[in-house]
Amino acid sequence: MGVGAVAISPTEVAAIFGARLGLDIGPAFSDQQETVLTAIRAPRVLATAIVGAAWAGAGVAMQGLFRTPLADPALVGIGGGAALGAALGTALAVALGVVAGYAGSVLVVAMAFVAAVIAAVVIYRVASSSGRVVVATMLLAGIALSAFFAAMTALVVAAGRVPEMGSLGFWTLGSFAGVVGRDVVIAALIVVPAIALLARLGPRLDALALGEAEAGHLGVDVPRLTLLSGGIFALLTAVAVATAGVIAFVALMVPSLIRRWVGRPHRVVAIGSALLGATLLVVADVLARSLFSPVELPIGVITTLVGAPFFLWLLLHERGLLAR
Amino acid sequence: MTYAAHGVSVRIGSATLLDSVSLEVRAGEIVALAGPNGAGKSTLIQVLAGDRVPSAGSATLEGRAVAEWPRAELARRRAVMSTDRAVAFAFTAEEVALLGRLPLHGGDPDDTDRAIVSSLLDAVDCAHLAGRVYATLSTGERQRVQLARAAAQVVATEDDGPAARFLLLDEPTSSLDPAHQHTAMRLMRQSADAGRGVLAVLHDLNLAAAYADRVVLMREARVVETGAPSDVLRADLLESVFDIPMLVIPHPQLSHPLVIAEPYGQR
Repeated sequence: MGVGAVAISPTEVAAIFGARLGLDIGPAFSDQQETVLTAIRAPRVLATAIVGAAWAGAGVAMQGLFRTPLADPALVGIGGGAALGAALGTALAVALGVVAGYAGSVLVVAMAFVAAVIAAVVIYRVASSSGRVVVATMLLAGIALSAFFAAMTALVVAAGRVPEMGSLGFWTLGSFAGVVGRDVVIAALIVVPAIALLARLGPRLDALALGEAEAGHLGVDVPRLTLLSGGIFALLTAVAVATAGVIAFVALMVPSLIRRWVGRPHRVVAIGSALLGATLLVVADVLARSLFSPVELPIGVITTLVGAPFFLWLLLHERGLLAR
Repeated sequence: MTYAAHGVSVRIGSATLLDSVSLEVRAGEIVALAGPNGAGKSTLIQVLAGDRVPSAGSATLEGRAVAEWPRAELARRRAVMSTDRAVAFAFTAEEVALLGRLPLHGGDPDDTDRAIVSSLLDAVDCAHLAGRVYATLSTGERQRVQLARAAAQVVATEDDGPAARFLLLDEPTSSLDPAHQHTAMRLMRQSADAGRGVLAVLHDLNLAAAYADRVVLMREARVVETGAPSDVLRADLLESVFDIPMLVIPHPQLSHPLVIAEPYGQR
């Protein structure tokens, strides 16, 4: 929380929060430091952690449902769909005069969710044949869908001429620069229950790894599971995108790392990924704002620089798991 | 205490996959389902499993249509092993087999579940593979793990009551070496002796002869003959079903028949 254009040391951070609670601990701090920390940095770090958990959870749900470690909603156009929805939602919120309030934020998330659901349904329909997702088809369809939504978002941003709508760069590479406290509250209220529900679905997603028919033989209501986990990853993607734009590769990397380091059962993967996703994105955001300080990098630049090679590594090393 | 198909027909467009097929599996017996490729064996398994709704007729478990059984309850009464043996992600063999217990533990396997799975992995000679990643196993090893998973699903513990349980196995031995074919058949025999009904699609008629209580012979979407192995495994009948000269002789040491398909052009 101390890193950025206005430097605040860890002891000063403690002192500022201490002062808020009526405690006098440690060194003196300036009013500017206090304002920056409580109004900008703290919401930003919290939002980053929650969005990191959201992307990672979205990855777990989508990978579980599509039965492949190569699924990432940000890479196959579902994040792009959410971005288009969120941009349209912002324009609508501006038109309705609610853009600076809770109603506006909820409207943006809702529009992002609807668009993410549409994108997810399109990908699922195109990529699955007789109860099995063809990974190559999913990725190819994702390329087309991503390009389409990026173009649509560019169109909407250009035609809208609404400053609140943000730039194309914000939607496609992500940033936590504009995050306010309201975003944190909304994101937390959605992400925490969604991850908890995902963890509850864990054993059923484990069964789904055997195949749709096989999961059915084990008593799993597969259509219901599909609906729930699809809804979860669309919702998590929508919240993440509405808060900070599309941040690619977090959803791809984190679940694979947890499976490798901690365990395969989806309950473990869901909770572990949420925690690791939160941690990794906070670290990435620190790098994004400190590497070329005072110039801030889009956070998606950091995640992509790590994630893209990881994706290729996954393709190379888990070929046996993919060739089915 | 039976699992049955009553006059089941499955038609897709102009193709008839099953033509009024009836079959019954009773608790405590092994029924072998044999016949040429495309005869409808897998389709019949799918109908019995509840995966496929027949165009006519019905599949029943204890007189009640399979489609009317609550999903979770049905899963505690019958296990299915299909020919699709791919498993996504790097689950270990033991984790895959433990999924067979999911209908009984609902997500939190206890020591009993683990003990059941461990003894079944041992029974299919996979104890040494328990910790291996399933996706790295050979085809035959995967098949044995899947058999253990299906068998684990129908092992009843004391609080599960006396209801009969059934195993529907589509080609459980197709990729196994001779020793492991018998390992697999022995597991089916033990399951049947413990009161479960077993229906297994088998291509090896000698396995059917040695282990099955009854053999159902299918050809071109119909059941041709049903009965004890010694009654069904007759040279004339097998020749007409499989379109290849067959020699059936008494086993020199055992009581069941030996079936030998003769090489083309030798007779």
